[in-house]
Amino acid sequence: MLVLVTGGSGSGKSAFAENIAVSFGGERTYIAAMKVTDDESRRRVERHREMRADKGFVSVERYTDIKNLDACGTVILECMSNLLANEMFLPEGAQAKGPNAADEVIFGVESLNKKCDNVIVVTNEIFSDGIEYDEETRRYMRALGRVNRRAAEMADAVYEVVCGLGQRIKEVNHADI
Amino acid sequence: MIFVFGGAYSGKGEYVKSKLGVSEITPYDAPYEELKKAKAVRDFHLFVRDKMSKGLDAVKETEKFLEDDPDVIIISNEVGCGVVPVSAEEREYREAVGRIHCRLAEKADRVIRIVCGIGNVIK
Repeated sequence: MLVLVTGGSGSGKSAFAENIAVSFGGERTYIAAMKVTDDESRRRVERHREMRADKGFVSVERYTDIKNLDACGTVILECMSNLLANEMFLPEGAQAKGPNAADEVIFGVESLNKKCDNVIVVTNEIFSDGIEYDEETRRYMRALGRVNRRAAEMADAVYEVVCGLGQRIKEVNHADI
Repeated sequence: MIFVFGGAYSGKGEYVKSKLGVSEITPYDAPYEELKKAKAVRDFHLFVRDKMSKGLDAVKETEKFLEDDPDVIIISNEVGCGVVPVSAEEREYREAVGRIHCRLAEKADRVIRIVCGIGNVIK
């Protein structure tokens, strides 16, 4: 089962995704893709660690190359937008080595989906502020848009989280005209 | 008329082609004679921006276009979910797009919101 969880920043999508993972039962792994580089990211990571402290996750920090990660049971990937940024902009990322960063993320999700019983992927809605960004940022947005669409296509269920409430936008209410 | 909207890069065009069976989507800045005959028009938010930058009334221009092409599929970006811009011009633009989207939704037989390539009929 592959579940994609999207939403704006601070929408409660992580807590929502964690609760889905807990509901599946069994062994749970949390793949943390955010690299701590400063105080702000450290605080963010700590907040997330506290949030899931009682939910029985084994945490794995993994910033790139998800496709070669050994995993099983139920996993959360938190989050795909960070992972993509890592693959695009970190020196050890896919882009620095040649392959397309978006493809690398997609392969990573596909590979998790094959190896694990349940995969919950958290991503980010960053596309509706109407700002025309510089080319570098647009390139990232384009890539994330593609990764999101592909993940949603593969997913058995897609939720959009608003104010902590998950709306199932696939398959229920799916506009399959 | 069908109104399809969503964030940038959310897969609106792909959706219109695959689910609504439109083979060709006309850009908003095509010659007006072509636009009038379009089955679907993309980047309608930029149509609004373009009219405003020329000092035209974007609402009237939109109404006129809908009269000329009443069965069109309009594809537009959601642009209102960010911080209110500092520049007055940007504020006006986003406000205008939002209001025009409301009008389009009101007139449309069907309104489809796209997230991650998935369409939800909200009207």
